[in-house]
Amino acid sequence: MQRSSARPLITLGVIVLATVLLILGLTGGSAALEAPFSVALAPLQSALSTVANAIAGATRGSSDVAELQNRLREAEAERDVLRLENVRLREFQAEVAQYRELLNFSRANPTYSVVGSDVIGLGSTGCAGTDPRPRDQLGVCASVIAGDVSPYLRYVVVNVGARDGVKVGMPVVGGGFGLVGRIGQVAEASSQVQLLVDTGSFINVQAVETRATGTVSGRTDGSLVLQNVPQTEELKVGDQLVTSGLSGALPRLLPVGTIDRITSTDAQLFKEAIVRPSVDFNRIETVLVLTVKP
Amino acid sequence: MRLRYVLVILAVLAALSVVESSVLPVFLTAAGSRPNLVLIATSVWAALGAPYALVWAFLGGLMADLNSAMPPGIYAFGIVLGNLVANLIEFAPIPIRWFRATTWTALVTVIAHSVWLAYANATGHSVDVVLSATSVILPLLLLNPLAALPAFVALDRVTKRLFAGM
Repeated sequence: MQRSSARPLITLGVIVLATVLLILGLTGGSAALEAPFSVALAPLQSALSTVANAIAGATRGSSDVAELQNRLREAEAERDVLRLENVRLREFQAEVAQYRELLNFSRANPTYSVVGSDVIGLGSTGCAGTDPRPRDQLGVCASVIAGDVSPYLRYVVVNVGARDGVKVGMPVVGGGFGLVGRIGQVAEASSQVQLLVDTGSFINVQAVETRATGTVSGRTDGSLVLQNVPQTEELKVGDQLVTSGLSGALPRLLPVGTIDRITSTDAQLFKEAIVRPSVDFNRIETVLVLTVKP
Repeated sequence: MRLRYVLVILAVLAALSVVESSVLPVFLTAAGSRPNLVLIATSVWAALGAPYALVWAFLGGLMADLNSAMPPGIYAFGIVLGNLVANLIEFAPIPIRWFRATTWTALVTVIAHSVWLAYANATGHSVDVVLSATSVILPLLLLNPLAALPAFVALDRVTKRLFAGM
């Protein structure tokens, strides 16, 4: 460290500055400070990330391998589309079963007058979900240009920001419309995406087959866990989980993952399960930000 | 210090922060196993007794903060606090200079990561402290000081050239 007489002053100055920035950051007052830096940094990060990906790709094998990788990508894309279609069909099948039950109820109780409706939220969640727009979700394609420098937060930086119409809370999907996460912070030219595996991420989900509802959140080790499933509900290994659309924050039917292992016991208040995500979070390069709210 | 040197140091810190966020994640996919380049460079710089080391630690931390979902200042605060605590090494002088630099880096790693971990838990991220200590901090206690060795060799030459007359 420096030995000059100014050392205590410099030390004090740095501590004061760090503390002021800390307070500004915690109170959200630092966004204006970050904006010009994000505009300058995003292209640089984008270029470096592209070069790094190219080098990583080149070192992985020869041209034959590249050809095979292309074919694999095509097959994976096709599989993703079919998987999504499968999820939707199973979801429709489950819905039809529910409608049949309702129909049976109305037939069995002809004196009742019934009105059909969709569940759009639980408790006092406000007016979300009442938008009558069609479900054609439009999005902005984005490249992942950086990862979070903190190992305790699972965020990635994408190269679209406020100028592309991106807002906090918008859903981000990957291959096969598998949910990647949500927009956590927005700068002018880039945005931070909070991944599903972040320990601060909580998503309302529904099992396609058993219709059980719960919350999926991230764990420190990078895994996903299904929680808050009432004991009365059934969980099945291999059952697919999709977003339930409750609270209106996310659209319905976005694939989240598959139940891998049930970890809870009957003695516990709620059921728990480990979830295998539908997206490989270590290999996401391109994502789609859904900019139109359902 | 000449403006030229200031600009060079700032450019190096900016480059390190961009590489740490954009290049390392491509090759090292597990978040815990990535060395903290900015932390290493600024710690070795401070351990070598370079002038204004705390200021560089602060500015380097701020640059890294731009690539984090943490509010600006948290990364910087962790590194600054780490370097302040690492100053305690002055009371127990380590004669071997490279060993002093690696010990300094290890100490800053522990302090800075503790700050970041505390912040994450204080803001609604239920990060498992024991798991983080064993899967992130412990491996980095080996990785960061190891990476500090080449940084020591490079920065030792740079400091000798830059600050010979100061």
